[in-house]
Amino acid sequence: MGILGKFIRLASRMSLYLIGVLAFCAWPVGGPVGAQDVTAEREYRLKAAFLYNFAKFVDWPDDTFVDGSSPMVFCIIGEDPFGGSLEELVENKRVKGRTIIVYRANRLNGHRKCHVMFVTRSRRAGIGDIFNALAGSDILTVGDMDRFAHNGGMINMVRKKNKIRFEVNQSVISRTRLKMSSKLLNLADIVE
Amino acid sequence: MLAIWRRALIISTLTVFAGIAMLSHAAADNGEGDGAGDDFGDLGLEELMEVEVVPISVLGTHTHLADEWMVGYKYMSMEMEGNRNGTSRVSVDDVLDDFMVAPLKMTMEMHMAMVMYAPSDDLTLMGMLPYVRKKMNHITRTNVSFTTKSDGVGDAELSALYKFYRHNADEHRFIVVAGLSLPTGSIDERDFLANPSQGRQKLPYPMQLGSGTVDLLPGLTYLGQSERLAWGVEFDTRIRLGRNSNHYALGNRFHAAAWGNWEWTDWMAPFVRFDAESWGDIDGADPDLNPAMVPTADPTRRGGDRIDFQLGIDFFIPEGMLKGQRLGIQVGRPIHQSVHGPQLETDRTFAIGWQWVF
Repeated sequence: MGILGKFIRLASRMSLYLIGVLAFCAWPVGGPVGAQDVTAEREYRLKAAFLYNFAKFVDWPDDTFVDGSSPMVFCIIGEDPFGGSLEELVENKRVKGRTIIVYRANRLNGHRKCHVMFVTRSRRAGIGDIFNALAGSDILTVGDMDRFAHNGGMINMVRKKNKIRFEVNQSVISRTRLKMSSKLLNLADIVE
Repeated sequence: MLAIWRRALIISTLTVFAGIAMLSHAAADNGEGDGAGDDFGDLGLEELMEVEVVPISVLGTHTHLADEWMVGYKYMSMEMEGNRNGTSRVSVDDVLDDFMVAPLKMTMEMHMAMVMYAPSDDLTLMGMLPYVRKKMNHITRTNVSFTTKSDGVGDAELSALYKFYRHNADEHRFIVVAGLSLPTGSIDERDFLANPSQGRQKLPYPMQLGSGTVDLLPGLTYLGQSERLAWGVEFDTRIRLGRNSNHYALGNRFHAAAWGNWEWTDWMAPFVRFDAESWGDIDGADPDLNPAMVPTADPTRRGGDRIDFQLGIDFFIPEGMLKGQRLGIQVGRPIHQSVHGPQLETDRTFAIGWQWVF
């Protein structure tokens, strides 16, 4: 058999196998196990725990709370990827003696009451406007998107070698009254 | 006797490994591990940073994360007994009607050493070097039985695996494989045949250790993974680039596999797997072999296709000093085979492998 014949035979076999591969792949994507939901849910349960831990290692000025018993407010701006896992995690937990409440919004209306603000990937396009609106305010901004901290966010959660790491932009924090503990900074990748 | 010792060794290795895994699991349950179960809220920052986002438990072709190394060893065996033509069995007498010698049984064993390194999350480099042992029993028309053996290094393989598409945190990944098989295995193996006074004679094609050719090894793999399930499909080929120094090229091979495994616990995952393979006849012929002597020396009687059903189980060490180690064991039987015969039919396959990711 000539080279051309071999190539045609190989190409036809590869096409058949490729169709088989694609047909097989169609099953899990829309299949009954809901695979992609399961792993995304695990990732955001993990990130919710990081968010809770970040709050433990940051000090807010007293005047950012109404009084000594008022709660700490976690805000989620944009489409919520946590799906209820953040509320579940912070239920019955306290940070610096304060209970935690979770507040969701698509816009920045009322953001002054937030202590921690998680900016979701759905707001990537308008991220510059968000940072401009928050400039100088004592709100810990956290995200999980490319260059979030480089572009003006305070903490960015990133996946490295299948684990969550986080970047901290110290110069943004230094322009606020927030105090971040050395333990948190030691575990972080510092970015400018 | 050798088989009994081999089984004893395998069972004891498996028992020790399973024991270590169970102890590690128990330690994790007692809070000595990272406790990375569903309740992440009780973990501190350092502990959270050790939790894997997607539990890794994949079979077959897979990539690693940046800067990860993997070393591994795999033992594989295949037993073939009785002859077949097409999908039908043929008797020894039928074979001896056309040939001077009929093969009765063959055992192939392979010890495979492998190493993988990932310079980035998307690219993994892999090298494999097999050590092969083969044994074939024959009978002649004059009712003389004899056995031939060969052993030595097989063909080395070098591959690059590139993850060109991933969706939603590696839940769906496509990997393209580009590899080369190098002719490090001998194609000049000799042994005594039915008449030892003739000295060592060139052994037929299936008793040689390598192909003698540089082969292309392109492939495509899909991997899917959820928290407790992993599944995959792969397609790979072996394309011979020209003939070897003995004036022939083994047939091209086309292989497809599909599998699914279930992470029953974080240290054990049973799996099922289907492997389909099609391979061609030999192109050309070794002038030292007489195709009328024995079917294994006939280049037009080497092709075929086969589908194997395999069951297996993987054991992982999730925690402690031995974290990253994995032991897998699988047994398989053909559910379909058709050959350009007469050829020996495949009866069963067995593999046990160890991998260490660090």
